[in-house]
Amino acid sequence: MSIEDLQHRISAEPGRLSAPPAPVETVIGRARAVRARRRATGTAALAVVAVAGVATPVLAGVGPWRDGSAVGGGAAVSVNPPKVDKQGGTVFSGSADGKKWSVSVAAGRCATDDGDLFGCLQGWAPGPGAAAELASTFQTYTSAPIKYRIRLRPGVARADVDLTDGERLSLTPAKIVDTPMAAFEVPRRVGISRVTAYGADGRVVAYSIAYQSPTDAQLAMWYRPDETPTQPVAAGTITATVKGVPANVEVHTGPFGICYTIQHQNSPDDKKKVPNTTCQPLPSATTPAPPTGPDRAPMGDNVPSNAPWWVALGGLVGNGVDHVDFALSTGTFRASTVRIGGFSFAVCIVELGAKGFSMVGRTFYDASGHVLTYEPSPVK
Amino acid sequence: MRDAESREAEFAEFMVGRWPWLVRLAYALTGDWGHAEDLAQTAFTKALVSWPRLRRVDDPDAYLRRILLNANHSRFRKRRVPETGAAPEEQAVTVSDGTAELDQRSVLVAALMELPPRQRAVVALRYWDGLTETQTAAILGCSAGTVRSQASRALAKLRISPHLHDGSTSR
Repeated sequence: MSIEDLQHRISAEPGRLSAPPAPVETVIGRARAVRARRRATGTAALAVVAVAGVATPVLAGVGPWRDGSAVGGGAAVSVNPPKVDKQGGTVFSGSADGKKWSVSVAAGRCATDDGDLFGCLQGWAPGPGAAAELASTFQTYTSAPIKYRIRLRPGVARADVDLTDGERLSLTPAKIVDTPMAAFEVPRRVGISRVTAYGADGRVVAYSIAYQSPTDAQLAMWYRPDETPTQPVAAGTITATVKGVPANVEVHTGPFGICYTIQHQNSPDDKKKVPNTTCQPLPSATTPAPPTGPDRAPMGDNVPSNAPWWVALGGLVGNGVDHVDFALSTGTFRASTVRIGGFSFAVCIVELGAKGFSMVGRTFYDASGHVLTYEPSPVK
Repeated sequence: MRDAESREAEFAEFMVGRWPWLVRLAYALTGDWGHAEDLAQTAFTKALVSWPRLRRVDDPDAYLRRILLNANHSRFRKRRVPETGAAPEEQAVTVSDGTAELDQRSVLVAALMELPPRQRAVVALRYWDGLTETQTAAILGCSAGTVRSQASRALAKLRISPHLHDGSTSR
């Protein structure tokens, strides 16, 4: 082999290799952890300086300074393989920040003391390509760790969960009423970046880039092992004013799919806002083009709808849609489309009112005002 | 908060476009797809931490290469990872087609792993990544003459590598 042949062979080699998907969320999580550690170190140093300046005479007789902060340090999460107890029930257990937890599911049942986290299992229909489904016990007004339950599609033997602090949990499921399930608990500060599902032969079946919402993680978008996500991350806010109070719908698009977040308030005066997020897969992967109308399927009502004194209607529309008229029993409301991440969204935010309303239909228009399609669908 | 989200969104776009290239380059340096992914993740993590500075440099790719090489060097220094003889992981890499190509890929990487780290880095940058002698020298912090001589020695070794002898490519 000549030197030229050798050079050519080396230079041609990279083009023949398929790279794995870019672990964007994992890298962002690791970078956040690095920054958090740096901030924690800096804060601790400042605290020592401040205390030393003020209270050295007092501390001098107390002993060495001990900082018990565990921010960013060490492995935060561990998960044990599920066990079967003497009664034949299944016990999931592990620890989060050193604090142990366990849940027990009685044999033949699907409920636990945690309520319906593990049940009931009827009605789960995994979407196309979806290998797992995630649910959590997130509670707003506590700082307790978040407990997740993951159920796996038949044929999935185990799942790896990548956390935003760089940890990876390898979950072995146990069958609860014929459905493979696993559980784990994470501290509030730790999110989920990715879930990878494996078959019995150890090969990757599918993976999902998780969306870490303000509350918990959601899995909407699944990829084949040889697929590389290409959807860039983008975000925007659709705003309205209801009763003089801002009512916003945040839209995030990316390799995780499309996610909508509203801030739930019990009333316009309620100071406590609780984020509520729903996610859907990117349309190109799941939504067939309809025979008529916009270039994508007519919108579903994907936005979390209930604030509960205002309601958000609509969501993703075809790129040819300029605006949508929402015909409600209380009147017609027009929503112009907003472009976020290469997609078009039409969201109508209206006051719910004491008597509520019913949907009469929706009309989709293009930029020249021509009707693209009419959808007489009383959805809400 | 919004700034951080915006920065991460900008970085995500940057990373998605460069990940295949960088992880392949890392693979040439490590000979192991798992190590390559770890190394590329480390490089991108450092890049994101330094993103305000990185996004302003004229050639962010050169910056990224430098981070990767430094991280690879640190990998050897801190973890005492064996520098030679690391067997490429067969199942971790997918190749565009054919078993024959898989064999060729494996023997080429196996041959690269027989080179000393410095020569391997020169080959990876100069031929695998297609940089000029001057660019390679700038990243490695040496002269173009050193790059030339290291490349020459590396190619001479590769030519006589038993891994690259036609017809004797078994793993």
